[in-house]
Formats: sequence, C-alpha cells, structure tokens
Amino acid sequence: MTQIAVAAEEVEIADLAEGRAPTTRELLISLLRKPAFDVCAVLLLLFFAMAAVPQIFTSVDPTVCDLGKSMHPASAGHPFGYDVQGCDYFSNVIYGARPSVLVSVVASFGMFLLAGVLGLLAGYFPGFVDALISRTADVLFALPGMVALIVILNAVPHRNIWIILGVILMIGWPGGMRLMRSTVFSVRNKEYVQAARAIGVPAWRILTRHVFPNAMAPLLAMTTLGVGGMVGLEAALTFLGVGLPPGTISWGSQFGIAASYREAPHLFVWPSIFISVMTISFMIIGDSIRDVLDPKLLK
Amino acid sequence: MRKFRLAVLVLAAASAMAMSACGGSTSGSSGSQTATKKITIAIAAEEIPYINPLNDNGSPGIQVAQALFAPLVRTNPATGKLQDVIAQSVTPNSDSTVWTIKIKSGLQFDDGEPLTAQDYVDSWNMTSQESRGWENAGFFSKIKGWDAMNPEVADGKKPPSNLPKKLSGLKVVDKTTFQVTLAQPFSQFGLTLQYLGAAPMAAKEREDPDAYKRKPIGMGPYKLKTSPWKTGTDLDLVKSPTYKGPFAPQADEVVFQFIPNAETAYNDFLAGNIDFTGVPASKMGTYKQDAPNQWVESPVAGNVYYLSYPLWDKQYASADVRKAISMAINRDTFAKLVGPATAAHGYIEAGLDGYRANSCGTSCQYDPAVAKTLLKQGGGFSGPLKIYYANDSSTGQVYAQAIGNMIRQNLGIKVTYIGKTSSDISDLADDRKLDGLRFSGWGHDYPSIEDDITPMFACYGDANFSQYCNKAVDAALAKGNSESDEQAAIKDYQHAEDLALADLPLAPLYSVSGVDLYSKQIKPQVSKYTGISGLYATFTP
Repeated sequence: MTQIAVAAEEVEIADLAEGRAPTTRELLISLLRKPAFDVCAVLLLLFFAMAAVPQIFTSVDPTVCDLGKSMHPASAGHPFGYDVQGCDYFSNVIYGARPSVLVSVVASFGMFLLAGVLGLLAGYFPGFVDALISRTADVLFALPGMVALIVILNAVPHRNIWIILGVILMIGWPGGMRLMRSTVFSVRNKEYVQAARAIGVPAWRILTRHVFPNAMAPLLAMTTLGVGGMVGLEAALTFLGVGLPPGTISWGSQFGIAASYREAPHLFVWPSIFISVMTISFMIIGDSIRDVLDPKLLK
Repeated sequence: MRKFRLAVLVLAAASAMAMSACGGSTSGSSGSQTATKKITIAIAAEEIPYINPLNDNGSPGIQVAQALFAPLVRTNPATGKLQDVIAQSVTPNSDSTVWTIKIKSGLQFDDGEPLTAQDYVDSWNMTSQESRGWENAGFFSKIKGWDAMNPEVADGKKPPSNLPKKLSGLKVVDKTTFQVTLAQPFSQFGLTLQYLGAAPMAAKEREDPDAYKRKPIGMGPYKLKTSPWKTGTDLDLVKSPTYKGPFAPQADEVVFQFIPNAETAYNDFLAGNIDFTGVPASKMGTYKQDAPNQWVESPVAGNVYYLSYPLWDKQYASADVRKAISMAINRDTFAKLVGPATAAHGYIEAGLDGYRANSCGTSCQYDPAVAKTLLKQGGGFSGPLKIYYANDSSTGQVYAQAIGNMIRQNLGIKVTYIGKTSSDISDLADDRKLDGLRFSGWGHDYPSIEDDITPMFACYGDANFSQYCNKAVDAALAKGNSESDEQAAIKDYQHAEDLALADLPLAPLYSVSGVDLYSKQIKPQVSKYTGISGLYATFTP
C-alpha cells in the first residue's frame, strides 16, 4: 500500500510538472489520501446501505404503531424511543434515509447531466442555441427558487418523489449551466479543439471527446458540494407540506412533526443528527473533490 | 344554510372564546382607578372582511359581534339560566308556536336612533331571504312564512321573482313589542334568541348594508374607535356611550388582533403583546410550562369532534362498515394525543341537560376483533381508505395518521392521507365528491341537546356533514320540539340521538375543552355554563 502510494505521488508530481490534467486514477488516489474524505465516504456508504436495505439495520417494522406509546422516551430495544404516533423511532429514522438519499443523489446527478449538456451546447454554439438556453436560464433565475418550488408543488395534486425531483431539476439547472458554459468558452478555442475542428471531426465528437472532459471539473465540484443542500431541500419541502405525501417515512416529515411537539425533544434530535451528518459528509466530499480538481491548489 | 361556527373544525381552542361571550360580570366597579382598562384579544383567524352578525356565522365574526351587538337573551354564566338582555320578556303561548318578545324601552343604536321592535322585524325579514345570500338566512327557517319566501328551486332553475319579502309570522305589536309565529311548535325557540345572528340592524344600514361593511352601526356595549375600520389594522373598540342595556364588560377599550396562525398568536402572547388568546392544539403539551399561572381550562366539556363518513360513497353505505371503522379506533389513546380531551361516546356535549355518558354503546368501544368481523359482515372494504385532513392546521396530519394507523393495523385496510385546506374539504363534501373520511366538529349555539342533533342528523340539518337522512330521526326531533315539558322534550331528543347512533353516520371521537391564556392584568370570566370569556374579563388592580 505504501509503495503504491509513494509511486503514485511520484507519478503525480512528474505529471503535474508537465501541466497535464491528472488521470482519474491519480485523482482517486489523492482523494483517498485525505482522512476526512475517507471517514465521510464510509459514512455515506452507510447511509446508502440504509437507503437500499434498511432491514439490515433494524428488524422493527416502522409502520407498527401503538398510539398508547406516543412520544415515550428510549427503552430497551427502542434506542430512539417512540414518535408521536407511537411507532419505533429508530426504525423510522433508518427507513427515512431512503427519500433523502434518493432525492439528493438523483437530483444532483440529474442536475449535473442537464446543466452539463445545456452548458456545453450554449458554450459551444454561440448565437441562436446560446441565446435560447441562456435567456431561458435568465427567466428561471428571475424566479425566487424556494417560492417557485412551493407554488409549483402545491399545484400538483398527487405528488411523489419523481415529481418533486422533476420540479427541482426544472428550477435548478441554470446555475450549473452558466458555470459549464463559461468553462466551455475557455476550452473551445484551445489548440486541440481547433486542431480537431480543422481535420473535420464532427461537432458532437469534439464535444464529447475533447470539450466535455476538459470543462467538466468545476461543474463536478459544484454538484458534489450541492448534494448536501439537496438533502436539506427535500427535508425543507416536506416540512413545509409540499414535499413527499404524508405517510411517507422521511427525515423531512419527521422534522416537520417534531417542530410542533417541543415537549419531546428526541423527535427533533435524531433526524436532525442524521440530516446534519449526511449533509456535512457530502459537503466535505465535495470540498475534497474540488481541491484535487483545482489545478491552482495542486501546484 | 345555517352553519354556525364551522370554524370549530380547525380552531378548537379559539371557539371556546366564542362560546363563552354572552356571560358578564357586572360586579367590581372600577372605583378610583383612572387608567384605561384596555384588553387585547387575539383571534386566530384571517381578518374578517366585514362586520355584520346577521351575515356571519364563523367564530371570528361572532366574537367581534359580541362586543358590538347585544343579544335579546343570554345564559347567565353563574346559574346557567336564561336571562333577558335587550329583551324585557320573552313569552311563548301554550304550545310554543307564538312567541311574544318585548324589548326594553329607551335603548338606542350607536347613531342615536332608538331601538324598536320594527328594527328587529325588518332586519329578520331582510336576513331571511335566501336570495340575498346572507349566511344566517336558515336561522329563521322555523318562522312561519319562511318556506314561502324561500321555495325549493331545482338546480339550474331561477327562483320566481315575485317572492314575498316579509315573513308572515313576524308582526309588530307596538313600538317595543313584536310577535313571532312559528310554522311548527318549537319549545327551544327562546334559547335560540341568544344567537347574534338575530341582532337588529339600524335603519340606515338596512338601506345599504354594503356601505356599512366596515363601519357597522351597533347597539352593543362597544363601538369602533375609528370608523370605518381600515383593512389590515387591529380592530379597536371603545365603550359605546349610547349603550343603556345590562351586562356591559369591564374593559374600557377592547382590541381584537387577527392573527391567522394560532401558534403565532400564542408566541405573541408569551412575548407580552396580547392579553388573551387560545392555546393551539400543538401547544397543549407545553402551555403549563410556557405560561405558568396564566392559563385556564374551560370547565365546559366543549365541542364534540367526529369522524365523518361520506354516506354518498357506496364503500361506506353499510352501517356495519361504519361501525367496524369506529370500533377499530382506540378513543382513549387518541384523546390523550389531542391533549386535554376526553373520548366521546355519543353525540351530545357533556354538561348539557340530557347528556348520557355512553349513549353510543358498543359501536364506540375499542374492539379490534369484533371490528374485523363487522367489516366482513358489511362486505369488506376495497382499499385504499382515504383520510382527508386540514393542512392549514398544524395537527391535522398527525391526527389523520393516528386514526389511519389504527384502521390500517386493526382492519388491515391500506390508508392514504390527503391534505387540503378545510374549506376545500367542506366544498368537496357539499358537492358529495369527497371520497374519504374527514374530521368535523360541532359546538352548540344555544344550550340545548336539540342543537347537538338537528344540525348534523336531521335531513334538513345545516351542518349535516355526512348528508344523513332518516325520517324517524326527524320525527323524534319534531316531537321533542312540540313538547312544552322540558324533560319530555329531552327524552325525545335522546331517542333521536339513539336512532342516529344506530346508523352511525358520524363516529364520535373526542370532545375537547378549550384552554386560554390571559395576561397578569386580567382575570377572564370562567363559567361552567358559558365557558371562558376574555371579553368579560375582570381587571386586577
């Protein structure tokens, strides 16, 4: 392990001296050398596992409730106590990971794709395409984000997680698009792109092979930094009553209910710890990725 | 349609104030104290668009009207007996069909005009016309001539244009006396006269009611400090120099603050900006710590809350299914979740004459095993079962889920929840389009068990949440209405309750008494008959 690490470091230093962008493998190695990243990555893997197979963390069914135990504190076998409805809170918090993970990861990935593609097109084809995309983005920018989300989601009669994702994507892509567009601007006149164009490489091939890989780094960093915010956004929307439908187990709805029952602080504490840890983990990972991608910091 | 105080559906705590306001304490004169006695009362609702008790049946409007108008009679907060306020006497004939009402002489409106029997008769005639669309038109439906004035019109048809403009049952005898002839005997009519929907309107206002929307001419203990009342400002009232009637509250100045969010009002009280406010449902667990020695629980076992079945939906057509759902609910634990509430096992509010503790019997007992059998007997339920809840109340979803969990676990039915504003839910139900359960509630407008049955269970009931109709119930009510003996009437009303409970169009859930908070400078009036009143608070020196 140490040998590989040392070897990788030598390669890295040698390569950077030449001013070449680091390869994926090198990036991964330098990421793994950050202890904060490792800890957060392990935590996130745990959260992902929770979302995918909550059964391995708790054997208690979160929907078995006994109203007589409403808001009872922790007891043997029920480490987080009971919620307002008298359901086991530990299993509810564990099962609550799924919507949060799903929303944050899918929304971020979708945002990366949408903003990336649109930014690529806007940046590479100035003129009509750029005008169309950029002006649409301006319109969306003019809407106050949270208000627009609340208004649109309120108008949807039967909300589910995919509709919420769709609306978040619809409102959220302009920021990333602008970033991508500006980096594409700086790349599109580089010698290797001009060379490719000169020998008649078709536009889509130039975009996918030359422009995109060289312009995506800032957007990638921005997206990973934003994943944590998405967890909070899902929680906030559900808290405001325009998120997931009632009956769905999620941290946001647990939070919303806890806000009305101050006499039982455990209702508030546990989901907030989980939301915070997950958000911070995503942010630290985002930070680490930005650090390794930023050539200025590397030198 | 008479729909008094439907606001109780959401504003459980606020309605306690409304129920109470007719009470008064005339004792304790202010003596040498010279400072203005000013009280700020929070009303947890949107600002009312106009002040007119004849055209308003919501809790906020009633509260305001109680300061600006005075009723004919009231319930004495100390004895629970009916006593005259504006009326000098209210006398029925032997079979309770003709009521002679004499009002005190020398009373006047705020504009200085004398208050006469003619004012009452003209105002009632005006309100009674359903074509004018006034909210309290139905209140007068028992008076002779009402049916001729408001004939049934088929959907989409226009009512005839030559309808009578006057009720044949109303007759002015002299300047201060008028006579009311009812279409059917109604022994409780005297009690209903404490409702402010029967308040008189001044002659000038009758000519053009719209012009006086925000500068009403009252005849009660208070008047507007600045007239007209500006939108978006607090409603500031001062003592009316022209009020000569009895039972005026102590305060020299009353300020009503409209605060749409009950929790905001609660926090505003804790910040010291408000003298009197209700406790919202979500604060029922914490108010004793938040405002020590400044809270009072209503001694009246208040409004009854129900789970309403949509009888027009064939899934709920079988009484066995309705009983199964009712028996799957553990009312005691549910009441504990609500706060200072007690499980309801009948339709009548505890405290009223004729209340029986367990009139519902086994249909309201928690028994999951029997519930399951009943469900099978009734043809089962092909889910999901929908529960509609008011999303403008912070506890709506919690209550809905609590009920839903019990139904799901005890009957094995999948349950989904739909949050809508309470007015959207009422509209859906009025159009018979609601396809699920909903919560509803009721608080009496006058202290008679008749008022806990007729509105919800008579075919013609104004608050018939389930659109229930059983001719036998109507007959029992009519029999009670014609009894001159109070005890005999109660027996008939109880029979009507039993008939309704056998069909169970509404499942009684819990009854809740309000809790109110008051500032250090006042002591609210507390009565086991009329509840808590902030308006009639006494000032501590």
